[in-house]
Amino acid sequence: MSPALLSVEGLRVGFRSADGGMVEAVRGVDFCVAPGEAVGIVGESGSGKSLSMLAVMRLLGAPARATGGRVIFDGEDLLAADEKRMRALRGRDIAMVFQDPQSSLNPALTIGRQITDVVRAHRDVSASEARRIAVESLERVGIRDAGKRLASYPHEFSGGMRQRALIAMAIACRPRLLIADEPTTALDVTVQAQIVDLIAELRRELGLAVVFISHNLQLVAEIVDRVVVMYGGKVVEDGPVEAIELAPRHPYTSLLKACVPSLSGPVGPLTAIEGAPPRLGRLPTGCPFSPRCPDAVEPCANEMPALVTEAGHRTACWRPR
Amino acid sequence: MLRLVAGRIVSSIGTLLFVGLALFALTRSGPGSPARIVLGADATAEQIAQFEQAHGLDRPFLSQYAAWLGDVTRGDFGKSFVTGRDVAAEIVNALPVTLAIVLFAFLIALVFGIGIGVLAALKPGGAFDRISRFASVLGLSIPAFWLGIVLIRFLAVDLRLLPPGGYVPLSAGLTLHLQSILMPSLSLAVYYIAVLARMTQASLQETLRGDYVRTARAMGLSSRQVVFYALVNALPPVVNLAALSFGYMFGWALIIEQVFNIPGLSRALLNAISQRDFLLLQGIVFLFTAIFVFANLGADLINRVLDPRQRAAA
Repeated sequence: MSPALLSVEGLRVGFRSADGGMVEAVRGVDFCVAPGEAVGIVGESGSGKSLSMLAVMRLLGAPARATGGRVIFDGEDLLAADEKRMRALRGRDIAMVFQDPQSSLNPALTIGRQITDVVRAHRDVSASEARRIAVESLERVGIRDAGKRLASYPHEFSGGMRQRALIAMAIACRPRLLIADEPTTALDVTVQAQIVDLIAELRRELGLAVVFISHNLQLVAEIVDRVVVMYGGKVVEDGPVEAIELAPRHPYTSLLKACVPSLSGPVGPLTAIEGAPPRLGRLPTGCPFSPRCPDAVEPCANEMPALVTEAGHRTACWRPR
Repeated sequence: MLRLVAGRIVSSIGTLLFVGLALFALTRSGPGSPARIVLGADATAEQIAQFEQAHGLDRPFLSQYAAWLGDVTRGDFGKSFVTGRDVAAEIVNALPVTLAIVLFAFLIALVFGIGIGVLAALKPGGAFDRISRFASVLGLSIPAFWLGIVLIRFLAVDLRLLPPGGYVPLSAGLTLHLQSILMPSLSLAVYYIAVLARMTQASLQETLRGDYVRTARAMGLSSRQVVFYALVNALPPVVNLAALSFGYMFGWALIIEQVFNIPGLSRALLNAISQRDFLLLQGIVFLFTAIFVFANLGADLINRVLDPRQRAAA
């Protein structure tokens, strides 16, 4: 196996709470992304998946901050890098697109301006060359008449087109890693599939490594090689997509799978996971999922199980299925 | 776009007509006829009637208004009943003085207000932010005329750096001109520096939290560019407030002119009020209204440029 492009080791993210204490939202997360690999990070709201990736980008806003661990990108610890170095890496080597394309583009500037600004932030090129690259990027993400569209403002684009434009910004400098934070959540279902396909296609064509954050296991399963399941700020399962799909070991993963109705199978009642996601600062000392887990036994609530690797499939559970 | 601008101009003129009518009614609803003031307490009823007839004061209200409006559109604001002087000429005489002070004050307020606001927004809770907050409260609570007096005391009387009052026109030299308007403009500007700084700071801080700012950072744009991205979106409310401030400044300038003994519009206006000089009073107030209306129109047009969504809508 080739050395990892991105390796997150024991990452911790905490918030300074109102009473001065620290509340941890990401509690020691490890995972790797190989060059060209697509990894899905799946979990409910509050599982720490977005925060982990914002920490990787060093884009956590106050009061959140990375409190421990390492983020090794191409041999370099990003948590130790200075802001100038991070600026150079962002957009050029690692790019990130976000959930809401509606608000993620600057309403006051043209699409063309916003893409060429990214190009010119990283490459010493003329205005016309930057324009050419912008057109090429827009064409690559499937926007027709790209040359004319440069002069459009975001409000003249549909939601799906805006997300395409954001992806065009992200790939304009040919990064090696694209982080997509729930890029389809705010879009219509039909458009969701198009964006997922687009990311899969870009990955093939450009050899991008992709981290796809989602709460929808089924959706990411279509395009990723590996799935990392997070719960309560921890990785509870991490394995090849086929294994996660066919034989999830962690009870949380199998329940998550059961929540999404199958299109081909018989129509039955929808399943929901009993209870609510844990509140930060009120986590059990043991497995964070134990209060909602149908399989929970004696040690679950008191002692956190270690991530155990078995044939490239990691699971943190006392009673894996 | 052109049709849009034309539409806004027409509606601004509509506002002016309405304000003109209200103004006309107000000046005439006050006690005392100008005839009584011009002719004195001893004038007979016959003399007064004669005066009112000669100046059209006996005609119906609306017909007086229509006649005045017709003259105004030709740039004729009439002749004062009291002094017999041409109102337009009197305004044209005094306006450049007031305008110089207000424009200079407006420039100071824009540069410092927006500058301080931007710097404060960059580091919320930082030292500059806290100092500027404190200074704004101070700036908002100090009355301009008192500040003027304090400035005269220190800069003119004690330090002898600037003249204590009076006005030197631009034609007498730029340095002398600026020296004569620096203290008045500064006293006038301080309140508006504070107002604009607060608005800029609040608005920019809000836009800096926007998702597109995070996108810009995630794409590796420099901090200067990130702030520019946010500022374009933060400016529209600041532009609106600046336009209102510009209008208000003319009102405050009248008081400042008194403090610094400057022969601007204040003297003409105060005389007009005390002497029931309807035409001069109307002329000056109408001018202020026009400035106010057109400053706001200007703000609307600038915001259309800043925000493409406004261009599309309406």
